[in-house]
Amino acid sequence: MNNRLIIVTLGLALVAGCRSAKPPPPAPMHVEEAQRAATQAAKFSEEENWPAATQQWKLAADLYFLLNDRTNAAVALHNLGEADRQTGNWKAADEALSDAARINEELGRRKEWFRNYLALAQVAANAGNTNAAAERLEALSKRVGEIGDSQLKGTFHNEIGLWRLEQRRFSEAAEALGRAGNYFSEAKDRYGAATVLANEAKLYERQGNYPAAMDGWQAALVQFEALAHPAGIAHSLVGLGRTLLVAGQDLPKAEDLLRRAVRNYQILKKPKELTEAQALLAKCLKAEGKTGQ
Amino acid sequence: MPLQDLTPQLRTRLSRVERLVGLFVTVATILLMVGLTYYIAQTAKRKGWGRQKLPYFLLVDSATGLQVGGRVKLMGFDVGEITHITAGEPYDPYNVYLQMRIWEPFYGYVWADSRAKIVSADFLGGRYIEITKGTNAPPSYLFYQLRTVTIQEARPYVDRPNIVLGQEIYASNHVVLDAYAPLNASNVNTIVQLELQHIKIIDKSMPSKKPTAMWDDKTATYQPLKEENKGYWLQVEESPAVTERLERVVNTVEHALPDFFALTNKLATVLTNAAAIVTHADDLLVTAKPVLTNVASRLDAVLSSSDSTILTAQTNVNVVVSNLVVTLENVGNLTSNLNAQVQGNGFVLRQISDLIVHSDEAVQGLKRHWLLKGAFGPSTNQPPGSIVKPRLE
Repeated sequence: MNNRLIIVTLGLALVAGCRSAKPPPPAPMHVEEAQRAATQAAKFSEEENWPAATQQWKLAADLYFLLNDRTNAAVALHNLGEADRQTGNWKAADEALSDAARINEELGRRKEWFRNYLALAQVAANAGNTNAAAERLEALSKRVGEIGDSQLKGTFHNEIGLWRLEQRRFSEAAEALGRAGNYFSEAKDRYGAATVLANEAKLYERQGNYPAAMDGWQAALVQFEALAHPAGIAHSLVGLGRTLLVAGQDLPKAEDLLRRAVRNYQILKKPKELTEAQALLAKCLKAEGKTGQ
Repeated sequence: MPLQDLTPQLRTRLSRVERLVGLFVTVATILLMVGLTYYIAQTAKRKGWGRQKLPYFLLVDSATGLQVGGRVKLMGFDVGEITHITAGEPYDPYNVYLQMRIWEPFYGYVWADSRAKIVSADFLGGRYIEITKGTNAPPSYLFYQLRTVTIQEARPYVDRPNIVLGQEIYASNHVVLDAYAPLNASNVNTIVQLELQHIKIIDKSMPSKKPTAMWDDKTATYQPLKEENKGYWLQVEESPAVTERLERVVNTVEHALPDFFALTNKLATVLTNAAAIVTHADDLLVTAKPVLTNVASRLDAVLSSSDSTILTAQTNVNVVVSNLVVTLENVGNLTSNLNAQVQGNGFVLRQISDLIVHSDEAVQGLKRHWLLKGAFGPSTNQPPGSIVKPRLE
């Protein structure tokens, strides 16, 4: 009996091994068109070319709606909202992300909905709409238990930490950021971990714990350098320079750091961050007595 | 340990294993034999083993791109192979003697009006022999009984359907009766009028497996086969190898260039002559001023001189134009040769394209194979998903 089984198994294995699976049928033309648009848009997002990404994600969303593919249309809308957020167009970002969240709610895609709402909370926080941010974080906190994705959980707790930081509830903020850091470590998300380090440094700075803040900024800078993330590097440079300035320590170093940050923000074409960095540099120069510059 | 010393259970199990091993060895042997037989059958088909082969020979200008064992084609089929290539004697009009064999039943298509074309096979200078099918002449080999008979002996065969002429009958320089013409009364009378003593006849009722005679173009008759049969001489239409043709193109250009330079030199001479005419005319005018009485005669001389110069110039222009025509013809030949090359090798690009497509299909197939797909890693074109990143404050 056993021998027969072995022979039959060997025979089946030989038959299965003699040929490859049939090639998948080619996708219809319009599906390929939509996929191409989405792939191109994802490339723009990765390159942080946000104006181009906005246009391309809008095109991808339109094409998916024409095909009645609401799942991919919701993905395109989400990424369109993210691109709008990056360009400071809060209203458009809010609309796109709300549409995506509504579609995912209808389709029962919980994880995607969570992602949409998290982005909505970020938009509200960026726009300074504290009520909306609070509502959205509240809605997210009710469903965070259903989510098994460590990276998403880390992002959620990071938002909670920042929200508590705004409210000056430092102990709760520290706890939330600590959780976020743990989740990012679990997910092996190095960018998330570096972001949490920077946010913790800011927390220490607000608390007046300057040595810990300096260490935190330095650690964040090292992490962002390892990731070769220009925006994170510039942010850490400004943070370290500002902490040195506020602490009144090593002003020439603070000046150097802030000058580097200003230069980087000029290259990155981030006007809001550039203005802040320039104001800090002016303060630093004043503190050094270099009023002529 | 002897088998008898084992327990009955172990002995039974060992016997089963032995049976299985025996079965496996038998199946493997059968598969091996089948494979070997198939291979031998294919090789035999390709090489023409077990088939009758008849010799033919060609006399060609060049053996470039030809080799022993090379292909011989007819109507697109491989019908034979080259068996021998050697250089001709130093004073022979032909440079190369080439012997080949054509397989059964393809030699039946080779008639006296068949031609061997030596055509280019590839860009690397390779060539092969392509034979054209005979259309309106006797077959090269005869597979019926051939008899040489006198007119008296031929009379009993008149009007017998299986008896035909084994030769062509000529009156002065033109053919009056073709080979394979029926031996009827009218044809016999024609032969009698021509006063032929002997004729060759073919008895189609007596076929032969082996060839009995070979057509002789010189005598326009079938001649019985000799023991040392070199084979039938096929006329050749030789197409030079690609490299050789390119060399000829270059040579043509080289020949054309001096003509062109000569043409420009002649033009320069014409222009120089014209300049000299102008100078002479100027001198004449200067001289004419003080000597009015000599104007008419001098002018006449100038005009005649100009006339001859113009005639010279016209002659030169004619030469120039004729040289230009020759040059243009050479250029035309050059482009037509290139065109023929492209036409002749048009399939190469298609074959390269097919090769690339098939290679891609093979790799894609391997990527889908259950055993190998792991080695290729995941697809690089994953559909993009929603992106949300932690926020920096």
